[in-house]
Formats: sequence, C-alpha cells, structure tokens
Amino acid sequence: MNDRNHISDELLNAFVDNQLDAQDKEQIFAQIAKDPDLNKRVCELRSCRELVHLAYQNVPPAPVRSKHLSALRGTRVPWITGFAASVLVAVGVFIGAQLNTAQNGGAVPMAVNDDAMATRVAVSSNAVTKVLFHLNSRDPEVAREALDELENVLNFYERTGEKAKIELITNGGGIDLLRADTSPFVGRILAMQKRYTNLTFVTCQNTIDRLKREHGITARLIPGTVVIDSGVAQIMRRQQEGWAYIQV
Amino acid sequence: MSDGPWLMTGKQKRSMEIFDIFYRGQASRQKLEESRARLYRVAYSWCRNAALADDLVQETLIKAYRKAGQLRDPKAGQSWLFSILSNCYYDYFRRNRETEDIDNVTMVEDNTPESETNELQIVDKVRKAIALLSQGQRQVMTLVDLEGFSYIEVSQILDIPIGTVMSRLCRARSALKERLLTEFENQPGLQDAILRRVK
Repeated sequence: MNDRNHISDELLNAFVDNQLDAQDKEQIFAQIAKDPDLNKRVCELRSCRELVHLAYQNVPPAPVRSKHLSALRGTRVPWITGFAASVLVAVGVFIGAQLNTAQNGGAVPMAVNDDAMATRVAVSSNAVTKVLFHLNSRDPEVAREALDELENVLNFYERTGEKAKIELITNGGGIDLLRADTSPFVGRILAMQKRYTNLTFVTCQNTIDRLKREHGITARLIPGTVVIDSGVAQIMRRQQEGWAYIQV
Repeated sequence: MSDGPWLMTGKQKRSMEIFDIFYRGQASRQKLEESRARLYRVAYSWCRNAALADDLVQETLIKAYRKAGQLRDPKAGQSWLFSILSNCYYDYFRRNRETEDIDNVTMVEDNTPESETNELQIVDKVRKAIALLSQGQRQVMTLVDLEGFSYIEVSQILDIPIGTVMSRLCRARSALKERLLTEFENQPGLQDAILRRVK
C-alpha cells in the first residue's frame, strides 16, 4: 500500500488547514520528512489555498448601496444613515422586539436556517431528478454492476441535458467498494468523481465503527467519499426528500 | 459594598434597561459594520457580481441587527453572520432560479477587464476556475481559504455535516489543482508571479 492510501486527501487537507490535533500533525510531519511525494501533495494543496486567497485579495468596490437596497425588498431600512433622527422610534421598536423575544422564551439561535433550508429542499426536489443507489454487498461483481448502473444513469442524464443528482450509499459489506485498501475499482471511482460533479459516494459511520470494533480494521476510504452517521437513516431521509431508491 | 441596583424603583430600573438596550444597539451596529468588508469579499466570491454581493451583505447586516438578541454566544458571532449571508444567498436563488438546485449552479465569468500583467492573469484564471466549481464546493472553499473558518464552523454556517465539508473541500482543491497548477507549471512567467505572491 502506498502513502496515498495511508494519508487520504481529506486528511491532508485538514493538515494543511490546521484542523488536526497535535498527535496527528506530528505523524504527518514525520511522514512528510521522509516522503517527497507526500511533501509535493502538501505543497500543491497549500498553493491552491494561496491562489484562492490571491484571487479575492482585492475585489471590485461595492456600488452605491442606496440604489440596490430599495430594489431588494421594496423598503429601505434607515439603520445607519438617518439613525439619529429616529432615535426614539428605533429604541421603541427595539425594546418591543426585545420584549417580544423575552415573552417567547427566547428564540433559538440561527432559527433562520430552518425556513431557508426547508425551501432549499423543496425547490431542489422539484427541479432535479435525484437517484439513490444502495449497495450492501462486498461481492466485486455486484459492485461492478453498481458502478455500471451509475454510469448508465449519469450518461443518460448527461445526454438528455436534464439535471440529476446521483448518490451511491454503501453500508455493510458494500463499504469495501469505497475502501482504498480493498476496492478493486479505486481508479474507476476517482475517475467518475472527476468526470461527474453530480455524483457522490457515501458510506456509513456505523459500518466503519463496526469494522473497527469487530475486526480491528480502520477503514481508509477513497478520497472524496462522504461519511454519514447511518446508512439506513440516510436512505430514509433521502426517500422523504423525494429521491428515487434503487438497491443494487 | 454598594447594593444600589436593589434600591432602584421599578421606573428607574426600566430607564436603565432602555439605556442599556440603546447602547447595546449602537455597539452591535458598529460591530456588524466592521464585518461588512469580510462579508462582501465572500459574497463576491460566491456570486461574482458586485451589486448583488453588496445587496446580499446589506440584507445580511439588516437581518443580523434585527436578530442580534437571538445570538446567545458572542464568540459565535462571525459564524452566525456568515450563516445569515448563506441563507440570504439561498433565498436569492430561490427567488430568481426557481427551477435550479443551488448545489448545481456554476457561475459564469463576469467581464472582468483583462490585464496584461501576469499577476492579474493569475487572478483571472483562478477566479474562472473557482467559478467552474459547484456552488457547494465554492462556498466551503472560500469560507475556509478566505475567512479561515474551521471545518466545524463551516459545517454550522452551511448547515451540512462536517464530512461533507471535508469532501467538498477535497474535491474543490483537487479540481483547482488539476485546472491551474499544471498550467502554471508550464508557463514560466506565471510561475514566477505565483512565487512572488505566495508567502
């Protein structure tokens, strides 16, 4: 097994972004010191980060705001300019808002998320075809069929120009397809991830935990794999959100 | 030791509360205003349109001011602000792109004046490459790279699992690497300019 399998791209990104604890960082530093390829990957990731920073270091100045605010909501809120002229009104409104909040027992922080996210789900489910494939077998032939099916569906939507989101969720033995050390299709999966931006490979934390607990195996996943809490829960969530479900 | 506050009448206490709320209002407005430039930069990186970015930031600040009382943990202020910005952005697309999932939206390059200098060529190329990422990948990458938010904070701002943050970031950087680094490696002039800028 090479070092690319030892240290996933996600882990390396976390290292570059200083998201790891001291022990993990130390281990990666040690490996970088003796592996020029790993060192190069780290340098590339750092360069990417710096390029993004460079690209937006200077942004065009904002236009005169007064023109845009009125168009945005149809009302202009005098919250900076003209504030002094309406101190009493503003204080009154603000106190009212505070009292209202207090009477309601206090709102949950960031409650604004709920509506927006619900809308997002509703809009997206109307606009895009969403298909969830489910693989729970470790049989390589079944896994190959799953990848074939995925490509067929993705190519179909590519040809027709319809928008689609495809997700392959693995649990149980199916996780082997997404493990860098057991999957017979690592190259194919990486190529598919690059080619189809609307494709996501997902696996289940419960399965990862079970592998560790029952077999002492630490799952090393193919870069780009998304880990969710529970495969079964994810399938239910997706079905509730209107995804088509296909078990391979 | 003074126990003054306990001796206040109800009316006096009410007056103190009003002044307290008033000054807290002023302070929170000032704090919010200090975040304008950071919000604008990120909003611009998401939508590539100065007027729209400015509108989104203004709407974000107004909402934040109105909801300032809901913020229980002042340390979470910046994450909270950016989560409002993200919601304003989604709302904008809901109003204007009723039939498109925002995660699939890729922004088209706006007409930035081309510069003849290598440095601005790089900026232009990087912005184009970022514009080709999916919306979700672009949001995660800019929050991490421009604002230095931790993965956990980004997960809270965008209301997505941390695994998704890591995966999107990984794919975004991988795509940038493929589109940009190889190209820059083959152009000595551009490579020199990058080396001058990357500290």
